[in-house]
Amino acid sequence: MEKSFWEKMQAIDRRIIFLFMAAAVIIPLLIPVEPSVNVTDRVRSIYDEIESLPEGSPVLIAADFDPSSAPELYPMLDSAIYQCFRKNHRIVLTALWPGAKGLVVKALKDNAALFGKDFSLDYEKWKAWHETGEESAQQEKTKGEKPDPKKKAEELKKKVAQLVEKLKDKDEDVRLYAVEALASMGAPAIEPLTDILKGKNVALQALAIQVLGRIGDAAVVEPLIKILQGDNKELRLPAAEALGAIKDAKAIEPLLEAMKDADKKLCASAAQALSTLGDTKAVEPLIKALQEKEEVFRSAAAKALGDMADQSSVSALEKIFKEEKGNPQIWSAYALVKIKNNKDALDFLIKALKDEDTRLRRSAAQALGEIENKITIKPLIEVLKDDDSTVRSSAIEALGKIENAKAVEPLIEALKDTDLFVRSTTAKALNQIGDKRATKQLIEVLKDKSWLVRYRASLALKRITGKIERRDYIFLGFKAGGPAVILSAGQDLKGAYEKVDGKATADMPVLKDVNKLKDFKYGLALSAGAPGIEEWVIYGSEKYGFKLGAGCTGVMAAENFPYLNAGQINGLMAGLKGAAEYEKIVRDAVQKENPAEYERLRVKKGGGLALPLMNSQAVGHLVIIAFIVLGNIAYFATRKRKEG
Amino acid sequence: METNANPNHRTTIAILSAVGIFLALNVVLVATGAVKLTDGNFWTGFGVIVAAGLTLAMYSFLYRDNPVFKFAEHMYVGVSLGYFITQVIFDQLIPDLFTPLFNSGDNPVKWILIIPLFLGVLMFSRFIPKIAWLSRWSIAFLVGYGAGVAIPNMIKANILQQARSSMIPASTPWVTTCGVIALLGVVVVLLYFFFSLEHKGAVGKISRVGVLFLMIAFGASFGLTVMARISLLIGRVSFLLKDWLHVID
Repeated sequence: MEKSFWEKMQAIDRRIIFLFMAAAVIIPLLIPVEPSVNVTDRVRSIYDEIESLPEGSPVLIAADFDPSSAPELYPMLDSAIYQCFRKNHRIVLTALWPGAKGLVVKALKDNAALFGKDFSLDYEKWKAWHETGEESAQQEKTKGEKPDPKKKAEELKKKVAQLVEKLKDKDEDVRLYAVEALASMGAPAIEPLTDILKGKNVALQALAIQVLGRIGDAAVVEPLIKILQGDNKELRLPAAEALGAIKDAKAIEPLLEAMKDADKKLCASAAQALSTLGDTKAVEPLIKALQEKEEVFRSAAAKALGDMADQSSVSALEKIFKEEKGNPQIWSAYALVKIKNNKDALDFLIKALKDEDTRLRRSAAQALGEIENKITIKPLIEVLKDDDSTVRSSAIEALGKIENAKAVEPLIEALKDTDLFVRSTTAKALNQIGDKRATKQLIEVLKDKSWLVRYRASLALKRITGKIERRDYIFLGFKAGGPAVILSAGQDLKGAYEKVDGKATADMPVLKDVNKLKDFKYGLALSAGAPGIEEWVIYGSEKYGFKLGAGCTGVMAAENFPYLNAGQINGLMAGLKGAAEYEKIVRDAVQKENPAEYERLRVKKGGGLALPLMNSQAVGHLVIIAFIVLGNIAYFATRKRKEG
Repeated sequence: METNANPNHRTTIAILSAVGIFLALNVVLVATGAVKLTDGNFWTGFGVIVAAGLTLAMYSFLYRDNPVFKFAEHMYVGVSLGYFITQVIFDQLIPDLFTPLFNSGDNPVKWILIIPLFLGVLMFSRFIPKIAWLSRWSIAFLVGYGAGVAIPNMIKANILQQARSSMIPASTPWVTTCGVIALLGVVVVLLYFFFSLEHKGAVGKISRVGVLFLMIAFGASFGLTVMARISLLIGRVSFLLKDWLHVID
């Protein structure tokens, strides 16, 4: 008996249905039509809550998901971070899922990049603005032109060649600028710089090696090893330093070999480079080096052992610390503080800041900068009045590394120092600390006669006016344990997360007055399962009493609505639709309040992360509904025939 | 005369053709600069190609089960396991146990960590049948801790607070109606699961209403699940069109 139309429909190959679904999803993505998204109250209340908080309020965002649910939850995370940044809230992020790490870092990085003013870092631009006004004329000329990738590549090549030429300039300012610019360019600069290494201009080659080290690409390791093993004494030293900066394992053996060289300065550089590579093979030769005659080599070996935090070297270091004087004693003290937190050694270093010998005061300041201990801030600030500019510079560098707000006022004063290196190091330190109090003085320093000072001040200003890690936001990282972590953070947040990337949370401005979960003005749990919203409600907001909103995958929405209806969460973003609603409110507000900011947002993020996907979502649902209707019609149409 | 080709043979040809097209397409994408493998972008570009290949390999199951899908499936399991193990070592054991225990100076509190270390080691006793019972100590600790922490907090958040919210006087007639329906739903569904009474007569009819409520709840969950699955499909398709093929912005 021949099959009827509906019987054929019932037996349709499932792959045809898949094809329809694929078309339903792909076609709307290819045809950009603005989707119509109605914003629900449950999403708006999350937005309104964040908007209503006073500026600088601490907001907790729990990102408990991984890449498998990123299409739904990542846009929520992205929009929440953006909204908090706009309102100048302090954001604290946590993850109870290990897979969230990369996503959180990306969302923070992308959004932080949207803030911060451009203070012009380009030497040519600066020169043009201040001397001839050529830059603005050039900008006017190229305004509205569409970027051509080929032309762009040619221009880049030309710019690299110009910068390489500037490395030969007589003016130190210009050479400094070229070094900074080439280092920031990265990969495109490698080839021309490697070509310089084949030439004979030693000064130029040394600069090229320095830049290659800063670029840090493994491709240049081989040529640098050749230089290290070569005859040119003036180039071997920067080559060893560059190899240490690149951190490629191929350099270990050649550096170990270099430690046996007759040139003890090279041995010292090789020892330092080996410590950055962190290979245990270096430990034994370094301990042996502690018995060498030359002070410079013994000091470098002690520092390297401290950097490697190797326990087996303690007795040898203690011997030097007790029996020797001078730099070896300073650096063995440093190593002992690093390895076993030796209090006597730390006290000795602080005392050495007042030593009669300039060299020792400088080394002590350098060592304290590497130790990064809060108790050294006061003695280091006192050193800012030292007669020797190199000692002042080292102390400033140390204060920059410690990144404590207490140093800001004395550093602002140091911007007026007569020595250009002190001023430039101060600008760098203020960049590291990132405190807004320095804004006015740094703007003034933009007129400094030295390019390096101006450059570093502009970098500091860009960072200070932008979003800064540990001041405006912090990702506390992944912590296993689900409910146990929430309970622990509820009682003592800084105890639960003692350190982040080696920095103590107790000192972070972003966590000022935030000691437990209750201190957050608002919490947002973005979750793809357990541990997630349920845990944050049960062990977090209900137990410790703070306001919580939530975002979840579509699958989880049904089980979280009871929390919304009971008022245990103030809002709920469910799936891609929820993400699109939230994104729409945030973008509409930006467009209304600040068209220029909206334009920047549009350029960086296009139509959004969730909104452009909503048309596919709608058409996909329509196709599914159509198949359900067709399936039911086919069922009822063929039922009688089958029964008959 | 053979009219139908061997299905396995046909699948092999289809797979080889798809792999060939995929490779050719990547060559074009790299050559045109859409996917960059130079200037320090090698790992990003290579990652995009691998991700695109694995996405397509997974979706090839929709055509039929095949070796490419099997390869991607097994790779997923292997990579997940490898990732999980390294994550446990580097994100949990080292920072939370080994570093505080062996590298935190003379802090006496650190020795308390020996207890969880010992309980953790006991879990491995399951591999030795004679002393497998030792693992019960660890499990007993976990269950005891879990129950002790969960029960009071869950009662507060999931029962008392939920019940409290349903007792608050309703603000509008609509909210009142919803509250009445929710109450009715709870009663009839509980009755459906009450098997001490035979589901006949009035009880049978009420429990059928309970089934209706259950079906509505399952339908809502299913609808939201479909929405979530389509979102994931859109996410992958968007990745293929945007990050790999660069046909959309």
